[in-house]
Amino acid sequence: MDEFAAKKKDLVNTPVDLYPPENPMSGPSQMMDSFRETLWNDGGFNVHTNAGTSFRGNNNIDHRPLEMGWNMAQFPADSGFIERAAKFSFFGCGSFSEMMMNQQQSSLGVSESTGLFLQDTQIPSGSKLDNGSLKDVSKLVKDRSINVSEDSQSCGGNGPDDAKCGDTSSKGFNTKKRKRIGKDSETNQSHRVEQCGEEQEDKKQKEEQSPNSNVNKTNSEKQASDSLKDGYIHMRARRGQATNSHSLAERVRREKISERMKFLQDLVPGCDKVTGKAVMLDEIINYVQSLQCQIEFLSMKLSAVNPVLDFNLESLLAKDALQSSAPTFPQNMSMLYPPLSYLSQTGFMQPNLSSMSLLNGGLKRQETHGYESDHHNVVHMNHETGTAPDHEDATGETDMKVEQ
Amino acid sequence: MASADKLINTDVPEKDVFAFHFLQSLSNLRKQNPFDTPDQKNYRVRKIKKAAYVSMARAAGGSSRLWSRALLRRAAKDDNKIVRFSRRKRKVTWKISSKRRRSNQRAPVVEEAAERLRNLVPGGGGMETSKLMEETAHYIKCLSMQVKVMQCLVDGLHYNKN
Repeated sequence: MDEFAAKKKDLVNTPVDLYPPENPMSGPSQMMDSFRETLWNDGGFNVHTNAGTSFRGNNNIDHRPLEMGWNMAQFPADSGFIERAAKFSFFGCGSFSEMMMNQQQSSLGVSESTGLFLQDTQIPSGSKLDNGSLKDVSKLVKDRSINVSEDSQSCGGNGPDDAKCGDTSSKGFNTKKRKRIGKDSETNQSHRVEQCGEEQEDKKQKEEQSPNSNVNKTNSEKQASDSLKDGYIHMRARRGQATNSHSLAERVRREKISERMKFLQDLVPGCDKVTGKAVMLDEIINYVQSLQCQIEFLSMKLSAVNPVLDFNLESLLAKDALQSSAPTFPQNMSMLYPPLSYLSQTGFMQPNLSSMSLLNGGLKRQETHGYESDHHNVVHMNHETGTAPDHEDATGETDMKVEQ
Repeated sequence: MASADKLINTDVPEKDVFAFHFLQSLSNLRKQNPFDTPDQKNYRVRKIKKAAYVSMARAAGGSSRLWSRALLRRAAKDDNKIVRFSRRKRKVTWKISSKRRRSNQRAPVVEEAAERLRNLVPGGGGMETSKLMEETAHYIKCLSMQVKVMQCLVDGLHYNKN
């Protein structure tokens, strides 16, 4: 703090000297008034993106709050300060560290620049300013200047308020391709703000309000669509195509659909030769319908077969036996999965069952597989070897409900 | 969370998972209703069909797929005793049904086919077309798996009977 105080004195003196003689000078005092006004009016920090003009008037006040935590407007109107302030303002919403680095490049040490802030806060205490309101201004700065270090971190991030500003500012600096929509950049930004963090599909869907007939000239330009972490897919308009936001979104959507159509084409048998979306989709629909009909047909068959089902349905095949089952097994046996059950000791164990423990082990293994957590509430397994009467007894004795 | 997936994920569990779930539901069915004396064949058929669908939805990853969730919800609505479907905490999803359906304005050829597809695939009413196609792909895979399972079962039982 001492070094700051020392530097402060050096720096303070120069502006302080200016102030008393400032009154005859219209410029700086005007600036101070304008600063005051802006501060009181906005109640927050405004980074005057155009420092030069802001010093001269209130015209170019950017009302978007930025969490820079400091306000260039606080600096008194010294020529050197104006220079430095201009350097600061160059960034718009650039990060604090960037600015510091630049300051360093311009032979201002970091300590000096922080001293720049601090000294400003000290002005009212150490100065002989007779401008009472200036003290208030500086107090505000003092209050906020504490946030400088914290906010410098947050500037890079996307706070809820600052998403828009972040996008605005970074747009200037970001060399990555953003979806340029020409004159619709503003609307796009607002759209992007709303959808920040949402899925890409929803974004496209929201942006589109009316379809545009794309002028689809044949083009050879490669379309670059990459995706950033922020969830947007960045696209470049193809050569000779409309660059409207709607048409771009529409095109992305179409490509998604055709990509999925290709995927479906592989699934559906016999669709290699088919070309064209309409026919392809018809084929897909037919296939789904046929599958559903097949299920219905098979379920009818199963219900017809059902009496047999009662006896043979739950054949106990331990999982190991299942896996090591010889190909001599009929195909359904190899696919019958060991059901869950707790059997009593007297058990109606089938000869091919190796042991109860094996079954229980299989049971535990199944449960840890985690196929589905929301099972039926009752899992029960019957284990018959005999005829119907035995079956009844079995039902009575060996039932155990497994709550899951 | 960028949608940088080049490949759509339509992984489907193995056949034995489907078989397991189906058998489970069948045995459950049998326990619930004595099938020994079938009064109405249609009733049984419907029950079995429903069991098939429900087990398929469960096997395919119960709540993680839109269509399976819709299926289970539909089934749970009908009879609450058999099928239990726990309500998941709803995330905010953008549903196209909540907005004006602009289906006629977007590639009408595709959209009318998509409309038909929506009627077929459970839960298709609230999906965008591209999402619908993803779900359809997964649904097709699961359906074919279920068909295979049932076919095997029928064949095996016939084989055992004879």
